[in-house]
Amino acid sequence: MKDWLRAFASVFAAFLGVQSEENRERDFQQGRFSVFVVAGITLTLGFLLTVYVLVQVVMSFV
Amino acid sequence: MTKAITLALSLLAMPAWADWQVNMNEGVTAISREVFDLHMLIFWICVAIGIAVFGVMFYSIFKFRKSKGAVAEHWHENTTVEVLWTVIPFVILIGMAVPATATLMDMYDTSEADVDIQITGYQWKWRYQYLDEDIDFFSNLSTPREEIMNAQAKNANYLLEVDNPLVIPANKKVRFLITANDVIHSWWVPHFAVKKDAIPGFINESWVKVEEPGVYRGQCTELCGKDHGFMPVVVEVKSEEDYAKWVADQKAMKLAMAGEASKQFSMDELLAKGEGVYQAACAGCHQLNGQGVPGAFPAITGSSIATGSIDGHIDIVVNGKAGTAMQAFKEQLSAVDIAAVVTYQRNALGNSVGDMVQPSAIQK
Ligand code: HEC
Ligand SMILES: [Cu+2]
Repeated sequence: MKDWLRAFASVFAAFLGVQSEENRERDFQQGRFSVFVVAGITLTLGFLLTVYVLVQVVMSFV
Repeated sequence: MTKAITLALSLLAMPAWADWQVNMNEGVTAISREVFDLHMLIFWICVAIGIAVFGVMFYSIFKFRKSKGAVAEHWHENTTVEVLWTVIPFVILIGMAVPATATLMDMYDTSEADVDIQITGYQWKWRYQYLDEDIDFFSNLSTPREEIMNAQAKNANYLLEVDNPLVIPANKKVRFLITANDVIHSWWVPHFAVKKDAIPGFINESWVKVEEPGVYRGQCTELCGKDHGFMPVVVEVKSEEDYAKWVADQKAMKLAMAGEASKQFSMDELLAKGEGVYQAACAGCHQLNGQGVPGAFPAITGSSIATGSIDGHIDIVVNGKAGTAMQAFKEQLSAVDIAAVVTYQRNALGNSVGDMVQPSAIQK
């Protein structure tokens, strides 16, 4: 569970473009590749959904 | 020192600076003013950011200079600072996107227009078709060739003047359906703040509602070939009454023109008329003296078509030649104009075939 939370936090940091060296080392030593892939895909879909919903909301004001 | 300051101040106050407008136009429509305000807002945000960033930078450079014994500190990362300088621009960008989106949505709202006009870009002229009124005409550059060739002084509206301007009513929502016939053009009037690409096979929409009658000028803004700089846009905004009168006049003119087409013309009449048509519609490619441009546009002087059978000559002018820059002129010119320009080409520009054609013989 903690693995997953950390993976999501790290992927989120990657979206922002900022990560600490300490976390990076931890991820590379302990993290599992598959967990990062799933976190990456999930957050990407989440981002797309957010943009989509935002546009729908804005357009509803037209 | 005081002298220098006084000089600098008097320079700033010089009346000549009034002509030195470097900022964009505020324009004459609600949308253009919105665009202008948006531009100024973003501009001042950028100025503030610039002052803050360069202020801190120059201050640090000065305050912590080496001659004062400053020593560079070596550190690798500071996550807090990095997150801050990522999140702050992000928030600023979102903040700017909010008013920009509101303006864009207004711009794209072409619904409930009072007048619909199709605008078609041609090499190198504009065509205006009023969809509700059976009005359809071409708008050609009217700057005299002498001015372009530097043989005459240039007038104030040099290359920004046309024979038939687009005429629209004031205080009405006018929708433009913009497309092109050959290559990509772009229809732009700075005072309206709209600029739309005219693309063959596509129709782009935009609209204006101008409050003040007046003449507004613009240009084609998509590089479209040799005479790209010679296809200006001129829009005449008329009061509602004047606009109604103009529409009536256009229709009367159309009737009169239909009557003209069955009239018999003399050689001299056709030549006089043909010269004007040639200069407006043909000289851009075939040149004023009829010599053409070797390798691109054939000479009319001594041309086998212009001195051969008159049917072949009429055919190439009416129907054009597919796949070349020689376009079909049947849409652009009246039967009278075509008869006149064909007669002119056969009996002027160094040719003297001696025959002529009447407008009634032009099959469109
Ligand atoms: C955009 C450029 C352009 C304009 C404007 C233009 N022409 Fe042409 N014209 C051409 C080209 C290119 C050809 C050669 C076509 C070909 O490949 O046979 C041509 C050919 C001709 C020819 C046959 C010449 C020959 O010997 O092959 C005639 C006649 C002619 N044009 C008349 C006109 C008239 C009349 C007008 C004005 C109403 C006009 N053209 C306007 C580009 C132009
Ligand atoms: Cu153009």
